[in-house]
Amino acid sequence: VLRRRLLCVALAGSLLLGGATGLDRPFPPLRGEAPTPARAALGRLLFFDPVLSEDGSLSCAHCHRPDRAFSDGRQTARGRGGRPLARNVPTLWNVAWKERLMWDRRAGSLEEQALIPLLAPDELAADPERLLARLAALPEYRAGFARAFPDERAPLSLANLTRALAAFERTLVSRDSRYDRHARGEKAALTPAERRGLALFRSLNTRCFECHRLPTFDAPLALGIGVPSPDPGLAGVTGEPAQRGLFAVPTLRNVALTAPYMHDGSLPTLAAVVDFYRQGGGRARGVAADRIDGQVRAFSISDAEAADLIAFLRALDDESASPRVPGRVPSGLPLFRTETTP
Amino acid sequence: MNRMLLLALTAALATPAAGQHVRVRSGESIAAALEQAGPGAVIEVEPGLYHEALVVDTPNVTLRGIVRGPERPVLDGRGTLNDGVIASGSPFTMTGFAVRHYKGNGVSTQGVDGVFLTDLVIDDTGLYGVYPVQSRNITVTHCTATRIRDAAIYVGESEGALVAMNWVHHNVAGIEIENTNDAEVRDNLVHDNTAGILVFVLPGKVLKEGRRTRVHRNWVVRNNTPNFGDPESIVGSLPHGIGILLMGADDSVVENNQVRENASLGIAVTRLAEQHAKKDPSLEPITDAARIVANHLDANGTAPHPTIEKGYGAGGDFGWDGTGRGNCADLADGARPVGAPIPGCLEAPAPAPALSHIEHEALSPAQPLPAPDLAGAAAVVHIRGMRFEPRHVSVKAGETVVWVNDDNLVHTVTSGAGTLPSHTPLASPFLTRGQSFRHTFGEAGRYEYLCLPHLDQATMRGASVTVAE
Repeated sequence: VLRRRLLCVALAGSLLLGGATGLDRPFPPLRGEAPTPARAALGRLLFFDPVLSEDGSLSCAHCHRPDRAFSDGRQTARGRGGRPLARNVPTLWNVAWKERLMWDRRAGSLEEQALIPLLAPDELAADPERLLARLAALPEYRAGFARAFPDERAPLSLANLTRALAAFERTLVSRDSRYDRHARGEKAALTPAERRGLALFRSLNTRCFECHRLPTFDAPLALGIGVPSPDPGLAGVTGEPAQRGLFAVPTLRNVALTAPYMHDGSLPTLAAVVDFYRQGGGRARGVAADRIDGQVRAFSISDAEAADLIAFLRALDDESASPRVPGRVPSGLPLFRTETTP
Repeated sequence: MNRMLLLALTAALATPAAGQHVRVRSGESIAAALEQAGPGAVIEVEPGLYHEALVVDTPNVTLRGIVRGPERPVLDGRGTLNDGVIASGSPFTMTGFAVRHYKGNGVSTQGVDGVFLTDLVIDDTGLYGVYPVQSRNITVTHCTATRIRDAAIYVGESEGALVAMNWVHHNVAGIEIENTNDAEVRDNLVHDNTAGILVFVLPGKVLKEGRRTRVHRNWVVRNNTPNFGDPESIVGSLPHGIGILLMGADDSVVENNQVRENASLGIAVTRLAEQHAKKDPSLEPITDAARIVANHLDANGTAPHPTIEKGYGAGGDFGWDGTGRGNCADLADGARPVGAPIPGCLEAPAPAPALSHIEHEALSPAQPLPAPDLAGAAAVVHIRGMRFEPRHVSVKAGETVVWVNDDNLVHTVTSGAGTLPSHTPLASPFLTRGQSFRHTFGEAGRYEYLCLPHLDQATMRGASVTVAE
């Protein structure tokens, strides 16, 4: 029976699949600790629980919303008391492969990154001691930390909290889009327009592929494209004036679900982004050429080609690994509400 | 059960067969043939005009243009299509085409292991002519590239490249090796470009270094064409009149080139400018351990670009900006150096001779050779002294031939007639001394083969295996 099944699979496979293509690239190994089920489960509860914020009003999920591809749909993030913050919320899809985190690449790991919004006074504003005391008072968390870190004498710690959050984030994997099926050789996974868009993406005319690299569609680089903005970007971290306006290259996976775009959310749609690049990035907006990477040049494509390119970007959508949103969290605090945007 | 097996087999046969040969005739579509091509497919294209942009994602595809005298297939973008060819399948082979009038690029390989681009005639294809990037084991030989607005032959962020016997003229940059390790650039004719041969390390790339490029036996002449590139790009802002320029790359060797009549500098060694370097803190922007030896420098620097005159005081045969460690140059008595005085290579020997990727392993001294595996071989061909010995062997179908490289040079065993490689069925990797390659011949016939790095040598092509029933 097993052999017969295998034959059926082989039969169906050979009809539907043409064999892997050169686009089918292995993902690099995950960075950092591999998530264990107990840590990811604990991390999921912590991620959605406003108990992490000092005043019980904000959780990670308030900005990284599962119904918005772990972004928030706003131009820039809203912090404590609804105050606007400086930058657009980046997606969490595929953060497991990020060499560094944040628009200015200042965090070297997910664990390190988790502390930044957790402790920032205008974000979750947590006081570590009081936060750990709140968690220790909740039996579900005491048990959850003990399960997640079974070999530790005092498992409930700030470090382990960030490890649990990171473990959860490393489960947010998006690599089964229609593009991926095309890369694996599945005929007809992409429409003709999407395939034309993929060729444009890999063209030396547009040069999209040079920075948004396969298979993650990002690169471990900070580059300048010339979005006009007072934000110093990488220079704010390094103090090097030549690095003003350099920002991390974001992934394009699930990009159609995470409008608006750029570090300041200033471009509302993918069409606006494509137009921005067609005009040579910030050159057309008065930004000095020496702030703009050499590969960002004005290029000429037709409007039909621009539409194809956007069609291709939509084929990078894949949320099949979406986590279940908990019905309630251990603190009993109200979860983020989906209707409050923007 | 048998019926299921039969069905599965039928299905397998209905999918594109491996190793199929397809003939495309003038008026037909190459893209349509590629759509049906399975791994190993050889697409042979008749002379004619093809207004197409091709994407090759299937592994191991050969695009072979049929050349009849002056006639060959022409990929023509007519100024409206973006790229002639984009390939991601490994390996990828393309020979015998003309490629012209594209907006972005002629032929690009992206993430390919095994790139064989031979006998391509490329003209006016936008920013680049051939553009292997993020690739490995690249061969670009016997190509002609003209009127390109950035680099005619570019290799970027790659490992292992042979760029040889190409003719590149009237481009902004003739040949550019960028953030690439172990490239060999030799026997090219490079003239009337803005700059001839560039070996660069530039910021904003994932691969941060460029080491062990060997530039030798090239003719680099009269590269004085005013720059017609984008003035805001690094290459587009180069002053004209430069023969060979090392910028930021380490362990380069520039040896035995003919460098003449380049109006600014024959050979220049300089660091990457600070304003570019500062953008990428993990980049090492200084040129170190460059070795400039035994070049024939003549009549360079006679009408320098103002930028060169300002930076070096005058034009000359050789210029160094004085930065970096371990750089040296042996200049003949008549040569005119400008800029900082550079040590000779005898008085300041470079830390380690940087040899090409395909030679440094082979040349490591006095290592005992591993015994080649000759088990089951019906015939053994030794490659020694730049010859296949014996040059012609005969075996029966189903029998195995083993080739053994006894030379202190790297060779390949590659199918091909005359100087035209075809890569099927014989496609050995680069064989260093003592390494062997074996192939079992299934079908009767005569199989001609050559050595890719040395197909300019009559003794290293036209060898054959005759297989009897």
